[in-house]
Amino acid sequence: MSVVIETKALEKIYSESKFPVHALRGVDLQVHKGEFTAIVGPSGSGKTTLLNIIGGLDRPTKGRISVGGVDIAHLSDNELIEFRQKNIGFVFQSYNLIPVLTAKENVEFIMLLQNRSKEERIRRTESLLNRVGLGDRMDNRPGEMSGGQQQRVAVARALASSPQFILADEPTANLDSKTAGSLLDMMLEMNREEGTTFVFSTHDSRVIRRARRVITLVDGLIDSDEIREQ
Amino acid sequence: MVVITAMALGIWSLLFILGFSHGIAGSYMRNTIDTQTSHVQVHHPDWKEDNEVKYSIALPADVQSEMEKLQLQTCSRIIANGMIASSRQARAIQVRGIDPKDEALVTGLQNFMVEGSYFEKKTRNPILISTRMAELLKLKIRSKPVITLTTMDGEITANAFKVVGIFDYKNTMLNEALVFVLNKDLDPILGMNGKVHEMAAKGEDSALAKQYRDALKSGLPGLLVESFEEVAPELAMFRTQMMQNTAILTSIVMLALIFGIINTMLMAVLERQRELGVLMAVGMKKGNVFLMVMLETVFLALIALPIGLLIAFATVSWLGKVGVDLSRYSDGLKNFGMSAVIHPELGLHMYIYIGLAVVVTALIGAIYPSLKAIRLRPVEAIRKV
Ligand SMILES: Nc1ncnc2c1ncn2[C@@H]1O[C@H](COP(=O)(O)OP(=O)(O)OP(=O)(O)O)[C@@H](O)[C@H]1O
Ligand SMILES: [Mg+2]
Repeated sequence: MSVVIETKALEKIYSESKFPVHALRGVDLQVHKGEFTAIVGPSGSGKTTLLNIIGGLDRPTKGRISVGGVDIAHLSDNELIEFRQKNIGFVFQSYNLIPVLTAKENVEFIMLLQNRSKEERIRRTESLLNRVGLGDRMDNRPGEMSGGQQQRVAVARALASSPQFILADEPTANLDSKTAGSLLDMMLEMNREEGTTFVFSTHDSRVIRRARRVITLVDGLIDSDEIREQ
Repeated sequence: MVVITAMALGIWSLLFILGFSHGIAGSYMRNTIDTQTSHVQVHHPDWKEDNEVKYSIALPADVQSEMEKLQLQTCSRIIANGMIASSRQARAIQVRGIDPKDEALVTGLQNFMVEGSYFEKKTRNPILISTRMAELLKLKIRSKPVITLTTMDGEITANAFKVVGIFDYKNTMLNEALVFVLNKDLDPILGMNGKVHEMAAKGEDSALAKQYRDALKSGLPGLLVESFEEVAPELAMFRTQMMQNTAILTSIVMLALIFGIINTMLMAVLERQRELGVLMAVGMKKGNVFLMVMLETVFLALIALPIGLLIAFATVSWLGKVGVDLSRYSDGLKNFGMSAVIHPELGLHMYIYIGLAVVVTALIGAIYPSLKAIRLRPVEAIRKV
């Protein structure tokens, strides 16, 4: 399987505050296409920091990060935005849908940024929303949906751009465990059936149980990396 | 919503004030042109320097025919400075010898009569004096003041005139300065032999005054031909002053508008930094984010603009029709030849200028908030709950 994410001796030091924080202290990591990987670890261990750097939202202090073979640490801001748009799907902890847009529009919007044809946008939006089980909520705005439903829209939105992989920072943290479970089931199904690569961080043991690879971070370093057979 | 209302109100009040001041200025200018300066005047080249009787127009008939070629309404005047005296008092005045029919058509002097009549009864040496003069000299209809003048030959003559009418220009300066007698009475007194001092003409439109002047100039070499702005330079000054005031007032309002827009849009950007952060995280280019905030601002302006313009247009036209009576508040206007009833007015071009100014202002005001929006860093913007 091909490597989509590769980091070498990745370090991140937050130096804005009085005491610099060494959030990542040399992370070596490879993620292959089709993985369903959980990043776990105690609070403050650097999970969010790692995902932000992998996602091109933040830059490393030291070390290398390449995504799909591209060294993204050296892209300009606008190149980075375009890179994210084409290659990475994001699911955020607090959904972060655009409140004034309907479910359909939230998903379609991403493809609009990619200049896809209207026909394709509509077809893909409908199939994605059906796929995440929201075929009947297409015209609802985020405010009219439950957290679980909103997060499903967020997953559909992340998939809409046909990214190389999807990054999700604690996607289930705001959901009750039953909803979290079914969201995870849905993600797993997409991973199995369509080979979508997922990398997500979580604290939730039930979510961890479903992961096929579990990377544990402690104090900004990889403490264990466990691949499970399903 | 609040911004839109505030913007619309700002636009409205600006246009309203402008309408008011343009109304005052317009009526003052029109009044002065209609009743005093006319559109063009012709004099002997030296007459302006020194209103001496000898500086006269030798061939008034030629001037008249030139003016009639342009289809202008014309009148001619013999003008002499002198003294008017009653049994009580004497005052310096300017005596104007006019042809009542022509004068009526050009300056409408008959409309200012408040007592007596406008040279209607046949009397020897009739004279029109102002209310002010009547008061100062204790003169009434049928009184006989004596007017002392210097003739063409430099001799001093005194003649009795009979008051047949009293006018009121509603302008203290004019009321104190002018008396009117008949052209044909004054001519022999001064020894004019048909010559006159001033010929005034009025056409269709005061905007054409300069054209009239240029046309007359070429036909009347050796005479001084002037448009109303040259006859009364204060009119030109008044107009420039008005334009300056308009510009200053507009700038002030636009400045306020800019700060209002910056404030509102900054709030809007900060309120939505999470959304904007997400948009940039999922791949919206900075240029597009910038454009989005700009467009939103212009959109606000484009909603507020027609509202403000429309209300302003409605108020200005309505008040323009019914007029605003300020006589209770200001006696002062009268002394400057301004009417106490003001009819606000505003040319269509002003609405267009202000509209454009608002759009430009909105664009300028939007720049800073838009820059602020693209400087947001997605990681930080999204973390904020
Ligand atoms: N912008 C920042 N400035 C300074 N320090 C930061 C910043 N972001 C994170 N940190 C610090 O870096 C370390 C790693 O933070 P990070 O958010 O990556 O941890 P995490 O594993 O995601 O934690 P959690 O499970 O609580 O989300 C922490 O000590 C945190 O305080
Ligand atoms: Mg975190």
